[in-house]
Amino acid sequence: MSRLKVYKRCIVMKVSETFEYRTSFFLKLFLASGINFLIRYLLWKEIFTYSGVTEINGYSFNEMVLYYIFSTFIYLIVDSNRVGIEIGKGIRLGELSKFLVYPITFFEYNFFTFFGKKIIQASTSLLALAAVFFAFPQLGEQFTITISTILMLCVLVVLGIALNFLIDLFLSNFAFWIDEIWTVIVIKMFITQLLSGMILPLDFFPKYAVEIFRFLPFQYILYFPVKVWLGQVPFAEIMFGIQVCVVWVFALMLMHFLFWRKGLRLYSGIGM
Amino acid sequence: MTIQIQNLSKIYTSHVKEPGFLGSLKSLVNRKIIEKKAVNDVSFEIGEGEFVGLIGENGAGKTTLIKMLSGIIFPTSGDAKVLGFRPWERKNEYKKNFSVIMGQKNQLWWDLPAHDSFLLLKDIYEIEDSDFKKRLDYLTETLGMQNNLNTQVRKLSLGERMKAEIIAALLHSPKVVYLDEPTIGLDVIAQESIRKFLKEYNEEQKTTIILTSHYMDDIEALCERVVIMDNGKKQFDGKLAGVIEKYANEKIITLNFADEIEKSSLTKFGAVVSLKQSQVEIKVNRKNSTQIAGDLLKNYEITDINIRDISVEEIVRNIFKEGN
Repeated sequence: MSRLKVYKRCIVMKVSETFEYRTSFFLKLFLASGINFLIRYLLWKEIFTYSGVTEINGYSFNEMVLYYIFSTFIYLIVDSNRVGIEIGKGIRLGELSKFLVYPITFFEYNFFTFFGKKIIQASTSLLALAAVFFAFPQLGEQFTITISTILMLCVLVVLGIALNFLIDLFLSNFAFWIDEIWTVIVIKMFITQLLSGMILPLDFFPKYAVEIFRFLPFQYILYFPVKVWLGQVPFAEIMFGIQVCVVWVFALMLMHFLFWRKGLRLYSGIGM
Repeated sequence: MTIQIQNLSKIYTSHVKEPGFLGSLKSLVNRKIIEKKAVNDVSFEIGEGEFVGLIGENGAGKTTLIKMLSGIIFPTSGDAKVLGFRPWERKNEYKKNFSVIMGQKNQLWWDLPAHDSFLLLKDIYEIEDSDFKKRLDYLTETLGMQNNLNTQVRKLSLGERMKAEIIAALLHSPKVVYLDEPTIGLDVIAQESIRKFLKEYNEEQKTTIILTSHYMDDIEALCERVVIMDNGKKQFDGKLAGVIEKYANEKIITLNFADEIEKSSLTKFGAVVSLKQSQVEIKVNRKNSTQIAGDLLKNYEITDINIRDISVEEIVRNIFKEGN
């Protein structure tokens, strides 16, 4: 099918482009997330040492470390902040014009180039993760992983990528109305960091909040797959989570296309 | 008719901001909305294989018109059909049959060799392998780009990049091509070679082309017919020969005299446009400009001489003055 050929080509182009700047790519990938992880590691080490307890909220120190290793790893794969900023810029500076004349939608083009980037990020991060477990074999003894967990994780990560991408894509539409959407994306970033469990595992929040989070898309980006990985989510809850994700994927797509259609009428192709 | 435009108008709305911080605060609360008629009730038709020049000053509405014909923006009122399609409905059958080249925008991937972008376009436009190879060979050869296809686009010179952009835009054999300032910022040699290519291409492929340019040379070399726009309105539509005869039948001779010179002694040659100490600009008849220049060189001690055409800008201004 010719459509599939375009998609494949978009992915290949993005992969080649990323390799053009491999140093910057690896620096961004590992330095930023390495520092992020280190801060959390040191913080929790102090908390555990000073409080003298062996468990906080059901997490042992080693489980806490694992939580942050997994969440850092998954974040590397699902992160999509650039998408919103890039598309917003495209709308503001008129670069969208060239996509409007192609016989392929802007959505397809963006999703598959994004996907190309994700493929390299996922494979390089997977190597890094393997290296971590090779260097600290005692970490591996904290959990057992089965084939079915791996399969479910794959499904959840793909859904997480889609959710995160669609949230950014939806927000980028605001560029039609307010021009500069950098602030919108930053606010989204803070909200996602908090509600996806990147800063703190979500079971540290009050009960009613946890109940609300089950119906929002954010926890499925990070917290949920990490908990599945740790083997702490019952099967029925995983199935429920997947359903919530699928509903959100369609809802976000619908919202995106509604705003996109309205926004395009305002688009003036500045600078062309 | 390949292109039919009927009473097409586009009104942009924007808000005005008073200068300074206080102005910014004011505009947060109360925004004054202003309307600008970028294209104002324009109608014309273009037949198959025509090469039409669209000229006008900056802000005359040329680019807005091209954006509407490419389907990038919606018109405020009026209608247009290109190849039987309404452009802003963005049908894939239409998109596969036209192309737009913008001198100031690029569609090639900046960090990859042009050839990679061509392959992406091949898939996007669903071009057959054999067609693609034939087209690419033909285009690279006629534009002399054989050696530059595997260099990253960001490392190409401006002229080479423009040629690569032209190849990219023509790979899918579009029936209609919009060229918006394709030679902007290029040196004379690059301009010349692109001009030559476009002329041959139009003659061989019978492609319908609309060209906007600031360079009268481009228009003169390529377009038999021109549409002149001013302030969003169509001011002139007809043969280029007519425009030049009617409005640009003069040339400007710039002279640097060795000594200071009296204005009165030069009026017999032509109308003196400006006189700054020893530098003089004289407007003379197009036909005998070289003869006059010869006479001047014989009679005076001249250190520098330059003969140039009246620019499109000036012609358009003349036309606009007449319109008023």
